[in-house]
Amino acid sequence: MPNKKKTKKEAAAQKKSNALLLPLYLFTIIFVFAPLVYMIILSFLQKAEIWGVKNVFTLENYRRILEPLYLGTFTESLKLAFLSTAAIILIGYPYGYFMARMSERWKKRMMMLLMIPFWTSALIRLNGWIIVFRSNGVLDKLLMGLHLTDKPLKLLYSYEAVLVGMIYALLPFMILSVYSSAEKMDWSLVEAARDLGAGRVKAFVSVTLKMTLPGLLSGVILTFIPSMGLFFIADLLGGNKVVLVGNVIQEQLTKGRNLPFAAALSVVLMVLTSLIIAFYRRVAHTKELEGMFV
Amino acid sequence: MSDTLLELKNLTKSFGENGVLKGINLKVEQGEFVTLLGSSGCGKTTTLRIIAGLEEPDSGQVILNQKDITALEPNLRDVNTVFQNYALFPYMNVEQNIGYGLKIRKVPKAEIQKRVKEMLEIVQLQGFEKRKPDELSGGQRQRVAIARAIINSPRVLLLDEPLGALDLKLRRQMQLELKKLQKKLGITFIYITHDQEEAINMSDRIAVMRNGVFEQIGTPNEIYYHPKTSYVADFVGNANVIHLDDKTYAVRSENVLMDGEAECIYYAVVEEKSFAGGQLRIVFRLQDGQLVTASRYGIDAQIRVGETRNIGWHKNDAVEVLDNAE
Repeated sequence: MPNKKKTKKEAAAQKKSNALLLPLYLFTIIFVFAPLVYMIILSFLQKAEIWGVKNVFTLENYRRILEPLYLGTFTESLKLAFLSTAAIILIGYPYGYFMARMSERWKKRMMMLLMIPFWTSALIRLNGWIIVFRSNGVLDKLLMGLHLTDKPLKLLYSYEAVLVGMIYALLPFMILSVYSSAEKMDWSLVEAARDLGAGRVKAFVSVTLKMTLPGLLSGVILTFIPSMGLFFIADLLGGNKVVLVGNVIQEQLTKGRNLPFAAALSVVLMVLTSLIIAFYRRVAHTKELEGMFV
Repeated sequence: MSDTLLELKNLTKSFGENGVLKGINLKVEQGEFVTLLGSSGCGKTTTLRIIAGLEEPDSGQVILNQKDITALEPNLRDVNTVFQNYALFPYMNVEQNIGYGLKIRKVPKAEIQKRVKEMLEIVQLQGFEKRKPDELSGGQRQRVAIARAIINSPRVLLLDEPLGALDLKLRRQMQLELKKLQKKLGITFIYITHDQEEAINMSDRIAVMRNGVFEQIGTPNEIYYHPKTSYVADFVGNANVIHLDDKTYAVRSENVLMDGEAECIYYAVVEEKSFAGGQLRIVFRLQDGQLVTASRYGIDAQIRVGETRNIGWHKNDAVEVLDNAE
């Protein structure tokens, strides 16, 4: 009998906590779930003559994505996303790692350095890169001044410029998430590994890397997803030479006034990124289970 | 001595302005159980870390098996550590944790499995192979940490307050087990604790440490019955430190006599009376103001706070010590 009483009480408590969670659920439904459903529905409808949609079911939007032009954009975007993510890992991981090992005073300073750029708009910061990259811009002048090259390099409006822009824009997210997991790390684990016979490299791979993997992974997610869709970076630094999925979506929405096709592109992009993230998770997870990193 | 396995020669270490070790000398024999005993901040953990190679001394030498290992990387030393917080790898299960050292040394898999099984038997954790550290109790984690260290058959095992996080009952039980294990394996143990009872129970020799130096090194008996300094007398034996005629004596509380016996030559007022752990403690104030504590088994209703008694002690029970209290 007392058991039943307890469960009753527990049920009441459960109800109460459910009620408290209600705003969260509502928020998620209104701002995440509903738009998503709306977008998916849109992607199966026909474009109206001038603006809006006709309520006619069609698969045409998805078929159109398979055209070489759009498929090419997807592969291009993926390539750029992989490249920029790889570069961001290479720069961001050591940065976050060493930042976590600094004294409290230096941690604060490095954090400050990381935060200052966020005080201005991303668009303005990207315009800074234009000044650096453009013909006879800062970089050209520097290289010519050092006699490394004798004519302007036409760096702006190139794939490389977009890549640099992506890395620049997304690097802080990697640094911060690596830093936060390295910061929480129990360094005595590394000492234990060293004590048990691991050299510096082995201790790093078998302990530090494993312990900071969650941070690294969330950094990858935070950089990979946006780099598929940050259209304004490709716009500003790539001109019309680099067209990413984000640019196509934006163009279809504004100039093309084709809501259904933009929605279809978005759905495919979302599915693609979800799959890739699931794959990342999988890789990290199975390795963890088998302790393969040693 | 040819049996000397580990020798610390004049080790010094400072962190910034802070002198943590001020010349440490110690010789440890093969198979010995030596305890570094001291309160927190006395430098005992730093000493251990220097032996393990996790810290470098400013000067001095660490000699293991007649070889100077002062500058040797920790992974190349024949020494393993049981860390204070155990430092078990959270993402590995018990088996993987214990086998880590062998895996690093590329010992064949079958051999690792066999040795891990032996270790699990020694520390009595059969059946826990697949558990993760966070699925174990404090005492079990501690056993894993010990197994993970001794599987590498180190010449010296360093233990940094390994029982500090356990409750009293478990601690007592583990003290006995550790001592048994040490005898069985024949490995030299260097053990750190701030608990004098633990030190006395387990050690062959105790090095009492204070402010970065060893105050006294000796067997538990020597330390307990023949303290050299007032600090050792107080810290290890909880003895009374009494100043008489420009000399300082240590008198253990159970040796303080009351009334009747020939040695009871001091008038003393009962200041305080308390009963704890089966022992009655009576604090007396001598006429010159010094406090002396006496202890007795059982309770004694006859003693009342405020009354005057005659107290004293046998001459043999008063050990002359160097006064170095702070």
